Amino acid sequence: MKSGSFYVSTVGRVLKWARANSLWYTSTGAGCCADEVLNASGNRYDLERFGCVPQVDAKQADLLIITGMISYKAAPHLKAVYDSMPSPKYVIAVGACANCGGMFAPEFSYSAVPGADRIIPVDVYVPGCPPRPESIMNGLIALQEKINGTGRNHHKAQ
Amino acid sequence: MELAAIITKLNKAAPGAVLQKARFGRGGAQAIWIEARALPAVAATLRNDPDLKLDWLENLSVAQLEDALVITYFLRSRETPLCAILRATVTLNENESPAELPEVPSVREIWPMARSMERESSELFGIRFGGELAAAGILPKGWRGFPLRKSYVFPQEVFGIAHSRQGTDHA
Repeated sequence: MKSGSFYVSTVGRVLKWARANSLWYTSTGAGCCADEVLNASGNRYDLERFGCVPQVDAKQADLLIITGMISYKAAPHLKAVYDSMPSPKYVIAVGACANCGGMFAPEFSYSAVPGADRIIPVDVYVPGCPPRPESIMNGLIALQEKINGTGRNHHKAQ
Repeated sequence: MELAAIITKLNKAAPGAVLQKARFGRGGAQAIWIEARALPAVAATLRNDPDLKLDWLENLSVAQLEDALVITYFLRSRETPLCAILRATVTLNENESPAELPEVPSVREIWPMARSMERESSELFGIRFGGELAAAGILPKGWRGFPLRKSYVFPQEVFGIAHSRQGTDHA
């Protein structure tokens, strides 16, 4: 066995497993979805058993959970938070506002960015207004499956 | 003190300033409509009269009705149980140059709380309070137009971000 293939297969699998199960997150908490993220990390739903620990500083986080509406004035700051995270980094957009502008839609508001993916790349979109903590947990598990390469849409990507 | 007594005092201090009194909203509150240019005289009377002492500008709101902007001052007193609602209109002409933006006398010398609220209204509606167009810093730098006016056209693109749901690659 060559060392390269050993790295890609075994070491890579260990690395993916480690990364998927230690997704320390920072959150741009705005709006009611931030409360649902708090609930999800609270003792009833306990996001921490998936290795998902809240971090205050973006420099120590692997995962950015975007909740709430993003205004054009806040967009550069969200980009700055994302840029200050170390690679590999992942993004979950929680709720309708972060996904597509939500009820602060571009048809009705002059100041709402129509989706976080206009500013930074998003890995998992969690729908809902607001989504229940189960949905947020489901989004986190989907991200873990995506990192591990065992995602539910993995066969479609190939 | 009744509203009629307030109006009597205003008529004595600033003749011709009071246009009418009208019901405000769905409640029983009455608003006093006044001439916009008589605003400083009216405000000084309401603030300084020993019987009124309306020294607290609780809120300042602006709304657009057809081609007029209605500016509403919600007043209270810290010493008397009075409250009053003042309303004034200023006409809006579209396609105006910056020097022709509607102008309303400022009351920030009379009620210092008016300063920040006037700046905000000035930035969002394009009203020159006291002759100057203030930037409150609510909108991002480089924003064009006054977004709370009915004639405001939403931008196609803001700072390189397309302002529509079309064209997003959610694959």
